[in-house]
Amino acid sequence: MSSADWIVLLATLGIIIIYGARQSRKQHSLNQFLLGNQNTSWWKVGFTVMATQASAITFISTTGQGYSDGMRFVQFYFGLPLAMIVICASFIPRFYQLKVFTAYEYLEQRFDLKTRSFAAAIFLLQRGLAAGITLYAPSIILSSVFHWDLQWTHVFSGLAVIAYTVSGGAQAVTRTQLGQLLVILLGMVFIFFHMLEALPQGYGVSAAARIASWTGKMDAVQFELNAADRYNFWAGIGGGFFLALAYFGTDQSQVQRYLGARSVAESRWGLILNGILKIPMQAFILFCGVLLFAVFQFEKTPVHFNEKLLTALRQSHPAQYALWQQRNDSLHLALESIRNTSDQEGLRHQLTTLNQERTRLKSEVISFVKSSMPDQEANDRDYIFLHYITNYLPRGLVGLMIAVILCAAMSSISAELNALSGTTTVDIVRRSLPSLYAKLPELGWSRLMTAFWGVVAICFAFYAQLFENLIQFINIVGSLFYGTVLGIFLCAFYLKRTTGRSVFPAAVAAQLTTLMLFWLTDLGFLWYNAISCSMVMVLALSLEWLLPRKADRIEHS
Amino acid sequence: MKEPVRWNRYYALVLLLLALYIALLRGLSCMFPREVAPAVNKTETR
Repeated sequence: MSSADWIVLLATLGIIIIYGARQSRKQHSLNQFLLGNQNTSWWKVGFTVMATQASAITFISTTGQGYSDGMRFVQFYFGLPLAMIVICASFIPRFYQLKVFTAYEYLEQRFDLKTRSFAAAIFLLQRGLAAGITLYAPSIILSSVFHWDLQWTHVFSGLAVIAYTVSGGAQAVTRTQLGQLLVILLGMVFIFFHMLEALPQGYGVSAAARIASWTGKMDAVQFELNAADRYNFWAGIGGGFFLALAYFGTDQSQVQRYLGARSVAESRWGLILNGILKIPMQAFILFCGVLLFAVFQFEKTPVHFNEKLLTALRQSHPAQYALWQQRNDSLHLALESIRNTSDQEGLRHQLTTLNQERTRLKSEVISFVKSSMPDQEANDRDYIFLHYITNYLPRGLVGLMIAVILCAAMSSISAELNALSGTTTVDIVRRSLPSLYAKLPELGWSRLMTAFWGVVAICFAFYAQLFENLIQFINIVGSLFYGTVLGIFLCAFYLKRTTGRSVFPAAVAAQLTTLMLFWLTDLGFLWYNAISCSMVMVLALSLEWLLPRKADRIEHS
Repeated sequence: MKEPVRWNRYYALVLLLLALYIALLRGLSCMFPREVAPAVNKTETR
């Protein structure tokens, strides 16, 4: 990176961190630290909910997804607005009615302490692991592109996030997230126009979309029912709804964002804003990936976008590497004529052939890496956008884009740390260990727990390199636990007959079954949510019916 | 008494917007249809 890039990068991050740290002066109570004194306005709630979800890896992966698979990934978000409506109508009023700090507090008031502690423990385990991956994901990419030391990259970014989350609490998260989201969106708009400029003369948005459509990348909505197809309208509405309901309704990192609003109405408006803006935002980021595909049709691309992997390949298998390079060079000989042709039919034919050859060559490289370098990540989807950033953007903008990636990572991890701290302090220490809790002021506990979870996340990140595919790992971890927690909450809201005596064993049984399914079967992980959630509800109802009613009356009295 | 009614209207508005987004994206698919054999895309998506 040039010195201009470093200045932009450090200035952007510096402003955000200092601003977050300044919020520490205003923190006096647990309510302020965890819920930002419940004075967040609706539009801030909406934007922070969006920023919490938009982690660095999602942001980079989405453009990579658009590049390789087109617009159809947008269907995954079709269930989100429906989930927002259910949360606004059912979840929010109940949380506010009982004036809870965490979603799990509600479970004690509706069921019992052990159900609350179980749900909180599941959240801590799942989110603690996820925080490590969220921290590790951008570090692996940044260290790969800029040849920084991987371990130091995630240790330093982790420490910076801990510093401002510990000192600033929820207000620091909310306010810095707004700045971070602004930087992210501005960066994406900048890069969108830069990519338009990078297209050959005479080409615009419409021409780029036409080129992408030749390989089906503009097929955004598909109504055909196909079980093997992960992204179609039905999977988006059904599976997407389920996932969004579990994530926004029961994950404390999101619940904490909208419980910090001034009122029920402002919480609802915030979530409605998220429901309205999410699809256009994701469609825009995906389209940036599609546009990048169109740009790279007229550019010479490497055989693999992960530069660190290419360097490793060059050193370990020089003959094979040279052969691929030679084939790649000859593939791109016709680029000049492709750039200048005005014959659309001829262009289509040439680009189709070029794409087929590129795909074949990449498949060979990926197969080779998988077989002879099993410790390396073979897929390069997450590196496509970074390749453009580092090789095509002018000075200063590279720094801004790196700041965008770090901002996305920091906004997610700070919200996660704040939620982990809140759940540990309120649901575990204050509730179950009151004598220990009395030894420190309540704000001290929250800060201590934020720092503790930050250090845990950094430690998890050291182990993250053991997992081959981070996105898949984070999704599996989420799917293993979300279903059970969602099942408990759905019992609480909709199955009035159920009580703690039936829901707790049902939840434990459902969680154990899900773990067994993971270890003993090859079932796709997306099914875990539906199975465990339904199991909790059916088992709880059955147990309630089977267990003697007398016990029920005693528990209620 | 008025609040639930008003919220229901806003929820209906969100549903309408969702339908509009889906229609727009579907329109985009129709405006730029796939014009090559599906096999090319299949290999690409892997």
